[in-house]
Amino acid sequence: MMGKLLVRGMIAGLIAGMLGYGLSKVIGEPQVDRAIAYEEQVNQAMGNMAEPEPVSRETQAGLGLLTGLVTYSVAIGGLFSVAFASAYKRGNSLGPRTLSAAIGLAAFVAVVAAPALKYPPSPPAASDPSTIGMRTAMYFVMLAISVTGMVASATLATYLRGRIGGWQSLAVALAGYVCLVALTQWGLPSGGTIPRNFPIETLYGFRIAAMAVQLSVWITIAVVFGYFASALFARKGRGILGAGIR
Amino acid sequence: MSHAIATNPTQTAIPVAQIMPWAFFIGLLAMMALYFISTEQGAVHMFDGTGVHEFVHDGRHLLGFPCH
Ligand SMILES: [Zn+2]
Repeated sequence: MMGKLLVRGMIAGLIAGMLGYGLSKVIGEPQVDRAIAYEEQVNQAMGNMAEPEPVSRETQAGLGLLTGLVTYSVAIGGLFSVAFASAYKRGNSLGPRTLSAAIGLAAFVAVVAAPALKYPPSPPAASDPSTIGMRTAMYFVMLAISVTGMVASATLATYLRGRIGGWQSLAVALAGYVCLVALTQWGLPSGGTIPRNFPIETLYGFRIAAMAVQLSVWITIAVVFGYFASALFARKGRGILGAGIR
Repeated sequence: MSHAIATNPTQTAIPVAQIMPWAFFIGLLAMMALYFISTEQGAVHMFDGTGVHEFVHDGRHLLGFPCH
């Protein structure tokens, strides 16, 4: 069963990655192009020669972007199926599609939304290249705490469910998660400043586009995987019942 | 009939022993794949040069990973 679920998670990820690529192309790339135009303007003003590009802009915005989106989404789809298999009928009675949607929502908040509140997605040339080490480390610390907190919060909700009821346990667990994320964000250093002349509408447009792409990836995985799992279980269930009757 | 429903494996949790090996396998694979998309030739690098970074560059920015 786990192997079958994993394959379905990765297929859901593949579909999500291709859709996410299409969306990135339409709403993300125009913002990336604007940011790179700004970057070249700055380089020229400072008298720097244009850097030789080992990968052309066409490849970056085409095959490279597709590779990035598909690799990310297939990996997430695979991990998603493991989370689903671990949670299915464990301390909850959710059906496959509802559980898939619930995991999708919780995972989007933990993996994307909470880290982005502290370290939002940023277009090219909007960050200081010399701080990449610190920014990367802090981003992954934030991500790790958020994901661990969400898993702990879900476990807590399951544990409290039989004692104080479904909605109450969910409220307590979520409050715990929010406190943890708030404290973490308060304690972690800032991601640095944006250059003074960076076009603000490009920054804004890029961030909206990046969040839309992530939303599209996670919604697609949650919906498609939920459908696949439900169909798989229905088939298996019928097989068992059929054998029982005979 | 009711007995058949009670033993229907799609209505019970999947055993941890069955999940673990797959979780380990995909966990390792996914971490490697995500590392190359998000971080290689950025903060740290396994290969010299900037080819990997430049190739996945737009996706790295749009997926929200720290870059330049
Ligand atoms: Zn960059």
